[in-house]
Amino acid sequence: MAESNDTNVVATRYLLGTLSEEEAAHLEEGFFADDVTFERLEVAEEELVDAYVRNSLSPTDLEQFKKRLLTTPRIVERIHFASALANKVSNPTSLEQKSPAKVVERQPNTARWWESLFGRKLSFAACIALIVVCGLALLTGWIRLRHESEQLAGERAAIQKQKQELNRQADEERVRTELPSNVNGPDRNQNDNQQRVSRQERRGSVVGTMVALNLMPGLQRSAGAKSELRLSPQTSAAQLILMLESIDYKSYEANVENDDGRLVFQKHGLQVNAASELTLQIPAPVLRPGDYTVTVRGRTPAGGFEDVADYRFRVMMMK
Amino acid sequence: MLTAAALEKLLARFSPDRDEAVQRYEAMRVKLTRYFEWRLGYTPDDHVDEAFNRVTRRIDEGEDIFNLNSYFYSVAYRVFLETLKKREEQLDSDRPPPIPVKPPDEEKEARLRCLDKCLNEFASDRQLILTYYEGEKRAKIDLRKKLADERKISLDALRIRACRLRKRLEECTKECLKQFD
Repeated sequence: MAESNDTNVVATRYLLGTLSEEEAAHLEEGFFADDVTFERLEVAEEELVDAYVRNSLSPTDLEQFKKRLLTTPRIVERIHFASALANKVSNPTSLEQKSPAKVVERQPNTARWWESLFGRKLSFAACIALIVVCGLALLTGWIRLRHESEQLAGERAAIQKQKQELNRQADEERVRTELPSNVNGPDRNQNDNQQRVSRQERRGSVVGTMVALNLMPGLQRSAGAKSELRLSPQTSAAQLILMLESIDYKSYEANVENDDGRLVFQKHGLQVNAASELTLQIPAPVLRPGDYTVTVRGRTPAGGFEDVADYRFRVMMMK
Repeated sequence: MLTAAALEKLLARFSPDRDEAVQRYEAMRVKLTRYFEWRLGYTPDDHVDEAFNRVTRRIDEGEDIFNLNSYFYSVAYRVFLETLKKREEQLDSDRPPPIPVKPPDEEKEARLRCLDKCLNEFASDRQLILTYYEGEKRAKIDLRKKLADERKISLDALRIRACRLRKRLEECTKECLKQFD
């Protein structure tokens, strides 16, 4: 126990920056080697955040906390959460009312109220009638929804067909405009080839060890068909080009989550390029086949974040 | 640019099992991020990428690395020292200034609602979380001791368990908050 307390003190001092360089390096080597030591540091960080929220840090520690930890949006986010949690813990009444145990306790009272008003048999008949009426209403609603969804599917298929036709026409047009370059000598030809590679990359095809994909906010989600990122065993990284509708922030962060909502990649400090796009490079090993969502948030001048746009894409593995 | 083959070698060094290797890769990414955050005071994606690139390159070149985790640390430490040196050269020795902490009232309300919702989803662990964070000073220590005794685990193990639960709760609340944006 005493050893554990010592470890906690050391972890806290490390986070506040009051360990000697030698002690800090020793602790760091430990947490890189051992996950439990790393978790202890996370616990210590959490306890410092709680102490900050409860105003229980000493003036010296408070000074160090602000200087050493309160400089990242992640810690600000943790402080907001800790405040909310402290609020809940100190005001348990509202939570008690929602606890499952209390709900179970109240059920017999509800039954008695029905019975006292209508009598047991009448209550039963009323319940059956209610179930039948609700069932009919649900059935009617379901039939209507099915009809509407069939209509929508038809419309979607027509749009998809139209889109494919447009893409085909655009490709034909592109081929027509690129053909004359072949007669302008080898240099020009090479330059055009590079441009073609670049276009291929931006359309999501595999080129060498890098694959790139253009994403528009929201579009892929509403159209139902997701943009596909096709990876091969040779792909080392994926480059997502995220188009922005407006550029109101100095910098952005992007979170990439898989379909289970698990964060697989995060990038801070992204800057918009001249074409109002963000470029996000993701190491291929973190992308497995499946659906992904990229959430882009803009950093406000106060240091917080505001949601800017969501993008969806699907990763497919090619042999 | 690193090649796919080099990245594959790095993953293989983490574990022969690919799923486990990816998990370890991600865990190392978190460790590196925290390391630079705690040392430098800002979120350092470029430094993390740089550390990964250097280690991957060394492995690809066939360097015999005895302990991968320690090697990552030594590379990260070198990147940290280089950053300090650059700061000195640019006469920019200060860490970033503290960020003001005041959530707007609307967000506060939404956060509380989300926390309520998430706590209700944590049916079996809800009581542990609430009790763990209850009380002040002596009362808090006693409550935690009682919780640890009831579960027949050490206080240290309880702290780690509560920290993991809280992380999940934080994630759940963060996720839920997106609906209010």
